[in-house]
Amino acid sequence: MIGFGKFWGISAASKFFVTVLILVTAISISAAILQGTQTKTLQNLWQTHERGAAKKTILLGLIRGTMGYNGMIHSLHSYFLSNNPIDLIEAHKALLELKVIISGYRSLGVTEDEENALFQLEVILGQYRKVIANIEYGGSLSGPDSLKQIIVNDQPAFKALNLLNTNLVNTRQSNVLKITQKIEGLSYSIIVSAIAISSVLIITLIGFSWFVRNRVTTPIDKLVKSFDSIDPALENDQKLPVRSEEWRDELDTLAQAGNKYLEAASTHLAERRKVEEYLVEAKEHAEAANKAKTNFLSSMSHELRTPMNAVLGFAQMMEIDPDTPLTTSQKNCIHHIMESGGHLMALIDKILIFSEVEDGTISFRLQAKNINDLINKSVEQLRSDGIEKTVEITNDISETENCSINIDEVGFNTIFQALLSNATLYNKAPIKIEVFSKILKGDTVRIFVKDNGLGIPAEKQSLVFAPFRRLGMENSSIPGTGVGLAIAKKLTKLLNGKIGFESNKDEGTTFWVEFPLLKDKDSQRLV
Amino acid sequence: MAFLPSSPSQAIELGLTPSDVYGLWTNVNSALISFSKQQNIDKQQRITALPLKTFNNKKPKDVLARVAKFRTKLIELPFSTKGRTEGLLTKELSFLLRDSQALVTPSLVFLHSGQVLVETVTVLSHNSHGKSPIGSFFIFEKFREKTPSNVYGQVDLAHRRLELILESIKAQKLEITRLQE
Repeated sequence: MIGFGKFWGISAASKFFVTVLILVTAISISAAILQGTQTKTLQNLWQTHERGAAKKTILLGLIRGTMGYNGMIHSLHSYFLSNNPIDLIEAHKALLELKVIISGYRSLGVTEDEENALFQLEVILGQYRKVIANIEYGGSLSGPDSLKQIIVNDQPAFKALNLLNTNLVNTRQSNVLKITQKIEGLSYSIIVSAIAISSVLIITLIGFSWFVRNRVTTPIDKLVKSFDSIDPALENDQKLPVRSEEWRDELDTLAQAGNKYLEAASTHLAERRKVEEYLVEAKEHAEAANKAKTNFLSSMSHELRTPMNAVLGFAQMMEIDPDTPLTTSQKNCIHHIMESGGHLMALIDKILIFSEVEDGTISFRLQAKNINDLINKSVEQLRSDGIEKTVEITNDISETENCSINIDEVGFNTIFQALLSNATLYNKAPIKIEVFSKILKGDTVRIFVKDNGLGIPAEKQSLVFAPFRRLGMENSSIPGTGVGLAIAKKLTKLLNGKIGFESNKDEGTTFWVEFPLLKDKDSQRLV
Repeated sequence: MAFLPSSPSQAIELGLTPSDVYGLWTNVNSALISFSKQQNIDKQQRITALPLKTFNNKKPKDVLARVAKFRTKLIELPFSTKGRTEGLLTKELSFLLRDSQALVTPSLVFLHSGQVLVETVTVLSHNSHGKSPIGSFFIFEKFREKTPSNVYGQVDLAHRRLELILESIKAQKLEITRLQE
């Protein structure tokens, strides 16, 4: 069984209202056509009346003219005076014409009074006809009775003509009155039908508006509010309201579809929540492990430094003690101890720095420093390590001669040493390193370290700054720990700078670091 | 003149019927017989005895055409009224009967036929110097239910009588007073 709600569902109700509107429109058009037809009929009626009256007026004039002193009577008088038979024929002709005219008048439709008047005229014309017959067959117009033979009492004819005239005037007035009344009636019916049609239209529109508000707008509003109030993330059984079967319409179908969507979304979100919880837990585990690793490295480094200092100190004492000179073999052994210990200490220092950077315990002393001074000191330090014999370092930093940056000098040196060390170690003879600097747009200085070494394969470039990764050089004879560039990247970032590189295999690599320049107004630029 | 008719429905129909026209033509025929007697035409008996032919399916338009043909013949009389008399009510009613679609009504045929009667009677009266009574030709017998075909028969009869009269006048070389024009 179809419920009331389905009958008044949005589609069904819309069709119903559209049908009503079509019907109202059809009625309106029909009424307009009907009223147009009535108006046309009225117009025709008016024209018929007017033309009929006009024709009667003309015919009445013809009767007067044909009968009177310009027509029949005139011809008779002429005949009496001249005895010319032509005048007699003219009189007959006039009588014939009067027969025609009266017939025409009658054919236009006459009232009883008019008919009586016409009849009276015909009687008079009959009398004239008798007069003419008397003249024709009597033969003589002389004598005392001759006058009686030709006298016709015209008074009834005049009365009849006046009556016809009066009737004509009255008829025209009556027609005007009838037409006016019909026009008033038509106007009234037009107003009534317009009011009726407008009322039906207004009621239909009000009904439609009411329906739209109650059955469409308000339910949609409720649906939207319900939708807003539901959080699929909450694990409860929240659903959009759906009415009972008998009241259900398209919006309930929409709500049902929405509930299916919410159910699916809720299931999906629950699964996603589980994944997120797992990921958070995994992240926490990873961070804890990393912290433990860092702590371990830091602790171990500290713990290693102390005995290493003792080892190196005592080895140095043995080497330089004048009381116990060493044999050549012993000197070689001490030299190996010193060299290996030095490497180990350097490694421990790097790991210590890396640990400090990782756990955020490193501190900086920021100062305005001339860039070229910083570069020169780092290059000089490299030279002092005796590397100049095998490495050719060219230095073109004239562009930044008077530029300064706000930097921690130790940190900058660590970064730059890492770049220089990298350029030196991963190279091929003859080793050439170019150091140069440029001022970029946006008040930034970029310092380049270019080598002519092996280059970095494209597939490995993403791992350049990863700690403890030596990109396939782990088992080579090239010394290194794989933390230099990792430390350089982290330090650069902490010092508000940027680091990057460009490399082609077998063509060498160019590393660069960028730092913001100090501006003149801050009195930081050194002149 | 806003009331001037512009279509057949607006023209004045004078309410005359084929029966009225038929009455006119019986009088025309009577006038022709009177004329033949008056002029002592040798074919008088034959003229009087001419039979009335029967016609069918004639329309007012056909009758009017036959009337026009008769008038043309009437003018051949040496004493005809050509150029003198006006048509019956032509001046006054022509515009009322004007018809853009050439609709011929019995009323229109009546007007032309009436004029023929007047012309015929005029000839008769003139040649009797006004002695011959003419009033009877203007008194019309009441006929009923006559059709255009019946009227056509009367016109045809009058036409044939007129032809015999014309033949006789030529053969007898009658000298008849010419009507003043």
